[in-house]
Amino acid sequence: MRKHIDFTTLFDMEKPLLEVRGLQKLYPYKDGKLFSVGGRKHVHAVDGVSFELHEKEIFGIIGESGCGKSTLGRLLIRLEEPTKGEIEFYGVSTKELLATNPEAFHCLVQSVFQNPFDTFTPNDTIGAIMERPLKLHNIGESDEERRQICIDALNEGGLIPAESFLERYPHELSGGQLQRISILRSMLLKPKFLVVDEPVSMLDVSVRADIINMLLKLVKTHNTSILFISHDISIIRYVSTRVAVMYLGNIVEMGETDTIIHKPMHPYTQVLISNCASIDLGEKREPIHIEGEPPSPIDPKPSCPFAGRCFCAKDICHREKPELRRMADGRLVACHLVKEEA
Amino acid sequence: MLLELQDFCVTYHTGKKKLKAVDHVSFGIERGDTLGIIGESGSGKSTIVMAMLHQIDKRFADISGKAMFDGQDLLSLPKDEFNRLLWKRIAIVFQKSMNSLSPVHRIGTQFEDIYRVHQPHASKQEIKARALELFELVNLPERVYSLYPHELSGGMMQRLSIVLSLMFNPDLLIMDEATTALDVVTQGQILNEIMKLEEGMNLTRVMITHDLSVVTSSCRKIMVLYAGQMMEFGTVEQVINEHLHPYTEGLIRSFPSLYGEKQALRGIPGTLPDLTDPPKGCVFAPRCPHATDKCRNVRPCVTEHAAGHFAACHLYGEEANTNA
Amino acid sequence: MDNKMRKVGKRLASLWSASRQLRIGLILFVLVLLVAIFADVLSPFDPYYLGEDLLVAPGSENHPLGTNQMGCDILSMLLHGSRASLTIGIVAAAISGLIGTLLGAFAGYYGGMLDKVVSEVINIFLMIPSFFLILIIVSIFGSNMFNVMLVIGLTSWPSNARMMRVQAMSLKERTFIKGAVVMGESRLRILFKYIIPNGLFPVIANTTMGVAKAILTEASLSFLGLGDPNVVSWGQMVFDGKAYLQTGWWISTLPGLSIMLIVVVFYMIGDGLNYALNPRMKKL
Repeated sequence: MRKHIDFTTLFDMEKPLLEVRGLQKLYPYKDGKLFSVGGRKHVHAVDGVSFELHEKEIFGIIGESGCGKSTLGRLLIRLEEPTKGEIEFYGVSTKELLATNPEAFHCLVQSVFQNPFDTFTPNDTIGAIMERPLKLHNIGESDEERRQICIDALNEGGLIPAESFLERYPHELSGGQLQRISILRSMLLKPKFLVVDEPVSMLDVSVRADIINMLLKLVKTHNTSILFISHDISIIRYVSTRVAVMYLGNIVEMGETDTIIHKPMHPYTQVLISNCASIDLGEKREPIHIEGEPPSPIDPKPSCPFAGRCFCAKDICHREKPELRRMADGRLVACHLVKEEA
Repeated sequence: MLLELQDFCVTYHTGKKKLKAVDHVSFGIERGDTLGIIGESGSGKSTIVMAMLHQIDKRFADISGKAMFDGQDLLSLPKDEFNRLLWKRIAIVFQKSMNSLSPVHRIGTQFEDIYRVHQPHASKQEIKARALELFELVNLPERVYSLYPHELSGGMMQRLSIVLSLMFNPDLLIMDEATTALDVVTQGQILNEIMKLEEGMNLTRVMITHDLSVVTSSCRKIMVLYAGQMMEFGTVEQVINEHLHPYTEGLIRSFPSLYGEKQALRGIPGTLPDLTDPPKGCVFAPRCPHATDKCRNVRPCVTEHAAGHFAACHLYGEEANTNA
Repeated sequence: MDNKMRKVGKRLASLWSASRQLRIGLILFVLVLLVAIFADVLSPFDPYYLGEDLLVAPGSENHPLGTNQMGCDILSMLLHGSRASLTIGIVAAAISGLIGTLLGAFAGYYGGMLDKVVSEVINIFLMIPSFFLILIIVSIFGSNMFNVMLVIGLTSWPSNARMMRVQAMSLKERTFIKGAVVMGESRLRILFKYIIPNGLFPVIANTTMGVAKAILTEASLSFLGLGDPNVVSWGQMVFDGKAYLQTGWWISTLPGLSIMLIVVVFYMIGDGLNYALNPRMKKL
C-alpha cells in the first residue's frame, strides 16, 4: 500500500504547473441537411487557447454561456479529447501521462462540478462515496484508516459530526452540504490542480459564501491551484488573482483580476463588465449597449470573433484575427484597436 | 397605492401538515414605483404572486388577507372579472414564459390571437403596428414578427415575453425571475431597456428574484423575505447601506462586491427552518448571531424605523413592539 | 451493512405501498408460485395417470374439474402445468433481460462503432416477425422445453436492449459519471457499478412484462403443436382439447383461463413496477 503519489519523481517541478498551448476543440456541426455543401462543418467550441498557470494560483475564467469556458474545463480534466494543441503539467503532456501513468494524472488533476445534487451515485452512502477514490488509488492501509481519513476531511470541512454524515445518503443532504462533500472528496487525493466549474451557481446565496471560503482555505493548506470557471464576475473577483475573459472560444483579455474589472480594455470586456449587475450603489455605470447575442462559432472566418457585435469595429477587425498582445500593465488583449503596447 | 397587500397569508396543507408559505406579509407600492422582492428558495416570494393572481388551487392552500389593486381586492374578485384584469392591467413575465407559445405557429399569428382575447375586433395592421412599436422599445428586430418561437435566442424570447405582457399598457408588471436564466450581458441590456421604457409608460414593476444585485441595479424599493415573512422593507439605499435586520446584513455580506472594497465573504450559518413547524419567536432567530431569549420566544412585528423603512426585529424599536 | 439492509427494506416497503396493482399482482404471483411448488401435494392424481373415466364433466366427485379424453385429471394437470408455464416464462424473460441489459449498456455507454452495430441488430430483430422465427427454429431444432425457453429469450431481448441503451446514453452525461471518470474509475467498473444499477429499473419492469409475453408465446407454440409433448403445460392442454371443444369444452377452456390469469398477473406486476420504480417515486 502506498501513500499519495510523489510528484517530484515524475515531473520537472521547475516547469509551470500547467501550460496550455493552442488548445482547440471542434465539434462536428449537424445542420440537418442531407447534403451539406463544402464538406463537414464544425463548431469551434475552444479555438486556440493558450495560457499558463502556476502553483498556488487561482485563475478565473469568465464569459457568457457558449463561450467555451466549460469545454475548456472539461478538456483540462480530460473528460474530452482536444482536437489540437497541448496541455502540459510540469512539462509532461497529458496525452503521454494518461498513456503511461493514468493514476498520477488522476491524483494530480481533480474537479468540482456545478450540480451538487447529481455529483454522487444515489445508491451509495457518503462514506462509500468518499472512501472510493482512496481505495482506487491505494491510499491508506486499511478500511479503518480510510474511514478515518474521510472523517478528518469532513471535520475539516465543517460537516460535524462527521460520523453521522458517513452513514447518510446523498438525497438526505442539502445542496450546500453535498457541494462541500464534493469539494472534500476531490481534495482527498491532494491534487495539484483543481478545475472548479460554477460551484455555487445552483446554491442559495446565503450558503455560497461559506462554501467558497471553505474551498479557498482548503486549497491554501494543500497548495492547490484552481481554474475557477464562472459567469458571475463578482465571485471571480473575490476568488481569483488572475482572470481570462473568453468569447466564442477565444481568450480576448487576460491579466490581473482587479485591473481588468476596473479598467477593461477589450471592447467585449467593457460590455461584459458594464452590464454586470452589482450591489455597489455608489458606482453606477451606464451599461454599454450592443446588439444581439453571441452567434454559434461555426467555422468562423479569419476575423476578430467580436467584430460582428463590437461597438467600435473597424475594417481590419473583419479581415484579420487579432493576436493577444502584452500591454504596459502586463495584461494581454486581443484587439486591433487597443493601443498601449509595452 | 396601486397595490397593497394586507396581512397576506398562504398556508399549504400537505397531508396532515400545514406549511405557512407566506405569513402575514403587508406592503404597498405606489404607482410608477419599482419594488424588488428578494428571498432565497423557500422564502415564499413566488407564492405571494401566484396566490395574488389566482394561480394557486384553493383545494391545496388557504389564502387569507387582502390584496388591494387599485381599490379592488384581487382575492375576492370572481374569476371572470379577475381574468379581465389579468393582461390588461396586470401582466406577468416568468423565467420561461415563452415555453407556453405554440412551436408550430408564427409569432405574429400568436400575437394576433392573444391581442384579440381582449380586443376581438382589432385589425391585423393595427395589431402589427402595436407589436412593432413595442419591439422597438426592447430592441427586437422587425423580422421577429414572422419567425417561429424556436428560431429565437434566449434573450429574444424574454424580450418577446416582455412585449407580450406590455401589449395592453398594463399598470402593473410582475417579473418572476424573468432575467435569471439569461447571460450577464443580455440581462444587463434587458434591465436597462425596461427601466427606460417604464419612464414612458407609467408602469409599476414588481421584480421577484434571488439575486440581490439585479434588484439593486434596477429597482427603487426592496422587500426582503425569509421563510414566508417580511424581514425588511425600504428604498434600495436604506436596505443596502443602512440595513437593520441581521438577515439582510447576512445576505449582503454573502454577496461579493464588483467594484468596491474586497471584504471577506460571510455566509449565514444554518438552514431554513421547517415551515410546517416554525420556531416560536422570530423565524430567523435560530440562524441569527444576535438572537436573544426574547427573539426565540416572541415574534417581532414589523415597525417603521425611518420614513418608509420597515423591519421586523427586536434589536430595533423595542417600544414599538408593545402592540405585538 | 446493517444500514444497507435497512435501506433496502425501506425501499421495498415504499415499492409495496406505491401501487395497488403491484400489491395484488404480487399476492397472486405468490399464490401461483405456491401452487407450482406444492403441485404434487395438492393434486388428487398424477397428471400423467390415465384413468378409466374418460371425458368426465367438471363437478364430479373424483374429478372436481373433470377429465380429458385420455382420462387424465384436469385439476392435477392444471396444477402441474403451472410449473412449465412459470419456468418457461421466467427463464426466457431472464435470458432476454440479461442479454438486453448487457448489450444495451455496452452500446449506450461505449458508443461509436459498437453502438452502431448493436442498434442495427436491434432494428433488424424488431423488424422481423419474431414469432415466425421462433416457429422455424423450434421446428428445426426440436420442440423440447429447453429449446423453447432459449429461443424465446434469444428473440425477445431487443426491447430490453433498446431501453437500457437509452438509459446508458442519458446516464453517461450525468455529473456522477463524469466525477467517476475524473476520479480514475475504469470504464468497465463505471458500466457495472454506476450505469447498470442506476438504469436498470425500467428494464426490470419490462422484463416482468416479458414473462407474460413468454408464457403466451409458449402457449401459442404448444397450441400449434410445437410444444414439448412430454411435459404437461397449459398450452399443450389447450392443444389437446382442441378437437373435443364440442364434447368436452372444459379441457381447453380451463387451461386457457389459467393462461389468461397468469398473463394478467405478470402484466399487473410489470405495470405496477413501472409506476413504482419511476424516478418521481424514488423519494426514499
